[in-house]
Amino acid sequence: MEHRDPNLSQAYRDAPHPEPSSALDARILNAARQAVAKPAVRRRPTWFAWAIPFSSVAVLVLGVTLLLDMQQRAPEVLESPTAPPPDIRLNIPRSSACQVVKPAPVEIPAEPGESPRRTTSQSNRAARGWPYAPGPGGTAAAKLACKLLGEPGRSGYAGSSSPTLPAQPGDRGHPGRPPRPRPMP
Amino acid sequence: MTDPRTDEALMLAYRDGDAAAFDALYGRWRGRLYRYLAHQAAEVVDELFQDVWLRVVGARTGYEVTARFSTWLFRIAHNRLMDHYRARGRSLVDLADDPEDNPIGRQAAPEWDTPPAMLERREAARHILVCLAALPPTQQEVFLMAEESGMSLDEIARASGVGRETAKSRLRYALDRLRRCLAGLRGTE
Repeated sequence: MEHRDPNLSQAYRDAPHPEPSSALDARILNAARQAVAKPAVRRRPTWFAWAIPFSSVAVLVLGVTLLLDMQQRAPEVLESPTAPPPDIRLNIPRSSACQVVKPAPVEIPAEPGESPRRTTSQSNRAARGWPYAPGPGGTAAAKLACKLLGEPGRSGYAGSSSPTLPAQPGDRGHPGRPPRPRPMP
Repeated sequence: MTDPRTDEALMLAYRDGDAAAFDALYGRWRGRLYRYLAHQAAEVVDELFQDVWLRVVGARTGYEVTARFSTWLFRIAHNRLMDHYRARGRSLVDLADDPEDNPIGRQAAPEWDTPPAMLERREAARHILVCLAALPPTQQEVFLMAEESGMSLDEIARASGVGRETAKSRLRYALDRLRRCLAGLRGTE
């Protein structure tokens, strides 16, 4: 090579040279190893290995138990959000105790000068009334059950086509309120 | 058993977490780097040597093979040496002789391949370190880089942060001075 003098290079190689001490080597090598060493994993207690499986199983058991309990208590509620309230609480078979009475046309004797519209309005109000009526062989308890099932405010499950009883005088959804005076013809 | 991998491959392996690769790399370069530093800053050589290797360790994550490992290593060593000089209130360039103003570098090299060469070599080995210590720091550095790292002129220039011609001139004058110094020491004995 142009920038080398072989004789000088040889003389340089033959000369005694200092060497790094073994302590210095150890310091550097230790530092280099520590730099690439992975951070030590924190030791966890032995039971910690079972914590996740145990908690998963516990959550599963709790969930299934809760679901079964809810199904036993209110199966209809789980099946449909608009389903009627369960009969199971009253323990009365609806088919035997109650009958859905088909809506019958409400006949109110027409008074002189009364418009036919009132008749329609009254029949509509009646349609929001009692959906069930005791069947032919119904007992007093069954009648009471039917009455409870059909109490106002539960008309949602009664269906839209089950008006039964005729409207009472003065009944416009507020029992006890006196009827409005009818306009004179 | 020596690792067959290249220096660059070893450094890449160390970057990726292979501590044994650093051991192999350190074993290859520890003596040469130590000599490079010892002949320029003997009083603090251990401190500089450790700092250079720690810089290598610290720079591992960003290491890419853009040059030979030796060029990279000696570049780090050169920079650390500059820091040392600056801390002492002087720079390497301030200490440098201008080779163009120095006529002693024109002398021809003696014939070293003659039969008495063996004796002369033995004598030279005894004296060369004295002559090396008498060199201007810039010439001393390029000579040590050339001897210890085996780098080419381009690599020496890159490692020492100068142009190729500057590195070439410094090295040429370093060789001339060493020859003259050795000849002078032989004549005095």
